[in-house]
Amino acid sequence: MSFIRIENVNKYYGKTHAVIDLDLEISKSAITVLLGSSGCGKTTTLRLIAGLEKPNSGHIWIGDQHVSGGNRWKSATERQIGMVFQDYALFPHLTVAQNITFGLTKQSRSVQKSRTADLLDLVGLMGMEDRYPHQLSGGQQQRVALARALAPSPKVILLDEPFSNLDASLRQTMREDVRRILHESEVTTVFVTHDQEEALRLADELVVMEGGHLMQTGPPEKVYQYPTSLSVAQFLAKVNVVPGYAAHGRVKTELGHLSLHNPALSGKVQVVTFPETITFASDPQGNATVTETCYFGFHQVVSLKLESGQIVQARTWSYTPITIGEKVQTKVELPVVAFTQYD
Amino acid sequence: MNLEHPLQDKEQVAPQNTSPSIWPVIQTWLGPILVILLTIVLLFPLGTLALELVSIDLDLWARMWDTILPRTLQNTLRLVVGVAVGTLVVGVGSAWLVTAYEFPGRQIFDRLLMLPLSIPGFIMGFVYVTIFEFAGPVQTFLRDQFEWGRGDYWFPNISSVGGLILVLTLVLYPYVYILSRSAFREQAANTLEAANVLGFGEWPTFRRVALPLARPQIAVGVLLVTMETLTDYGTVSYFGYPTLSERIVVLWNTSFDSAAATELASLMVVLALTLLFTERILRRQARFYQQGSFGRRMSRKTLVGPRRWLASLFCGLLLGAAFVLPVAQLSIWSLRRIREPTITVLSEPFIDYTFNTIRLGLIGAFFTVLIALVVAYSNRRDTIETAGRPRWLARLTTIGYAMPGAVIAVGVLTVVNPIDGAVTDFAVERFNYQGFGYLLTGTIISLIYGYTVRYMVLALDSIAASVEKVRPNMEAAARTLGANTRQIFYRIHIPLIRTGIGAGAILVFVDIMKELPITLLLRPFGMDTLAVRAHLLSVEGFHESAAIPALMILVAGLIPVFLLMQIGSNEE
Repeated sequence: MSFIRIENVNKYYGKTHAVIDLDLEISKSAITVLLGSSGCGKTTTLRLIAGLEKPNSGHIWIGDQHVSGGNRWKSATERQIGMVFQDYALFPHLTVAQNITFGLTKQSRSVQKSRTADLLDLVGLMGMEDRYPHQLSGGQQQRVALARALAPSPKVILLDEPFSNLDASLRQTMREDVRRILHESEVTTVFVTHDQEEALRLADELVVMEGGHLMQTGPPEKVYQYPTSLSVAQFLAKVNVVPGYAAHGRVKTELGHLSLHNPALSGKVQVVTFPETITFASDPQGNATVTETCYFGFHQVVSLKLESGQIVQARTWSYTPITIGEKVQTKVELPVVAFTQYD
Repeated sequence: MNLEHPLQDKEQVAPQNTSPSIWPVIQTWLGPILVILLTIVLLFPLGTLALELVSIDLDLWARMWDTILPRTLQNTLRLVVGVAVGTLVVGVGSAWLVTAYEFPGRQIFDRLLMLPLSIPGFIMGFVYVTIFEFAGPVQTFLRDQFEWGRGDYWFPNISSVGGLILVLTLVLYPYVYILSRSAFREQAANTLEAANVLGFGEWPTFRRVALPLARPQIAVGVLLVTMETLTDYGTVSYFGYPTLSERIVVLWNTSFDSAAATELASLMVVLALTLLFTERILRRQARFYQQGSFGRRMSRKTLVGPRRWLASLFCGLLLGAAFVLPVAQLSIWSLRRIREPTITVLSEPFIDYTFNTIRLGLIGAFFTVLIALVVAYSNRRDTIETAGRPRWLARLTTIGYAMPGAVIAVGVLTVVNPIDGAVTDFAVERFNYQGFGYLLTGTIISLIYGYTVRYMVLALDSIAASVEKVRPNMEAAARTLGANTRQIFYRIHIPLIRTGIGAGAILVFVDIMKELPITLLLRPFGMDTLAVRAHLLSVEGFHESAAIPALMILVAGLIPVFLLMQIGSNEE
């Protein structure tokens, strides 16, 4: 069931068309991740939902409230939304506890106190209530920002690249913690990131944006495995793209005669294969030559040169013995996704 | 994706007015326009003077070249070079001592060597002259001790260029000290150790590594000293040493040669602008040099044997000469003057001067801070639309700080005089006005105008820095937490910019308190401030009477120095 509904929304900054004819529905009590490279319009979309930016046209509904569109406008102050910013935006002159209770002015002292205690417990910062933001580490500041946003029990929480300022290992733990906290709070969440791994890991629902347009939405595994455009496929993974000719549910490529995921396709196409779906075996009459291996410990990525000179990459178990210069025969295990090629 | 709406309350999508309205354009440009207007108002006096050079009066210059100009220029140059060299040696030397070595009292000297910054040059000047002149306590003591008479002994003449250079060096060396000290501190231990490993001893390391690395900051310090020396009026006038800045006041105030004063002032404007521009460039360079700021700080070398006492002695003598001696002497004089109140010719109504000073300081600080707030907020880059606003626009309003007070005063008068003339003519014509008063000249309004032009930078620097602490996302966060504009102002902005406003106001207040030439030229008739009184009394030789206002100014001047020390200790 959708909780936030965005309908035909456009946003301009001067001459820049930041969000173009956006239609989007965001499910209740789930984590929706907006993924895209910088400048794709994902942060603008988030700020439009928050009421920090006013769309030039279109409508936005949150719950049963029509918050933007026509003559309707509810500002961020009235929307009862929690937001976590990339730079945390903690109030430097207030303590952790005062930051958390900032949005609770209407509650009584005792309610504020118990709510603060609950939230500190939730984000794992017990005993830190009297510290100031500058006395906290980046990860701790991030937790305070999350607690502050959750404090007024908002129905929606928006997170704008919250982990981009943390180092890699901390990002990993924060990701798991935040996912747990958000699911426990059963709050509708919109999460913006440019990090594919983060998006796939966190999302219940993935939304890929590019150049102000919405490219594809769906559960992360679906979007990953069955991209509906070449750019989404290339953005989400290091895929191999080889030319092919499709007919009758199959496609002819240098990698073999492969079965198509979208069998209706015919004619000249571009075929997407994931490195992990390509297997190969030593074969003096094979269709490819090993040119390079990249060892990652738990797997290795092998570069294979096809007869046309194109190089494709295959990911294999790291214990497979591989010799550079060896002739191999490739095999693609699963049906592949392909897109009509327009010259 | 599924675009059908499960919700029942779907409304007709009304066609929206997407044609650009004029209001966002105004919102985007309102800030810069305000800043430009204020800049024009603040730069008008200086601009008028600069324009004087376009309509240059060659006869006047020729006449000045035959009379005062060569000597004035020569004097100014000699003084500037002398003070620059003096502050360079004293400032860099003491800074290197307290950062590179450990010796008795180092920690105390490290802070206290900034203190002389609180003493205006003209106060230091009259204390030194009074102590070391022929009739002063030192020479009298020597004569009594050795039963010498006049001419029996040699003693350096304090009322000379040398004495003047000494006095200004003692007052101004803290600029070089503070800047080079922070430069030395930022130097990473690795860099200096690398020099040691390459076989450099202590002195070569200093001369060939530490000093060149700190050069840009030292240069900025010396440049500030040069500006201060050029703009100084009180000290040179006490020493009767004519410089450009001093001549402008004398020509205007005593010889009533406003044409010559204006021409000289316009020359000063060009000179000051050149220095200001150079300073900007040097500061930018300084940023590129600071590459070793990460990593360990260099460890101090503990001095042993007589060298450690020499280091203490050097710092002790410096602090004694530049701070302890003047403070002690002024205190003694003040006490003597308070104990024998009837002895001098003049019975000084110090309460009035104090009140005048505080009033001018408060009004001046109020307006300067107010304008600084408007400029800082107008030029804030808080949204995507305003992100491209240029920083130099706001900086333009601060040029006045590089100008001698006398130049600003003359500039204000050239702006204000025609207005007064027109208004008076109008009043005479329409209302048969018979009085002598003017609307602006000789009123507090033109005085405050002058102060604002001169001290804008002090308020703007501290306020702009604190306004920048309020990051746009903090406001956004507050809004999503349900705070409205008024609440954001009271709960976020006020607490965060409060200290910046306070610091700016204090700095402006204290500098107005010390100010001489603008006050002398623009003050309402008979309105004396502590600084004016201290100056006039000292010029006339009433050093005990002068000591009381001088000491009050000095104590007030300590406040910003303590603020500076606070900032310094936070950085550690």
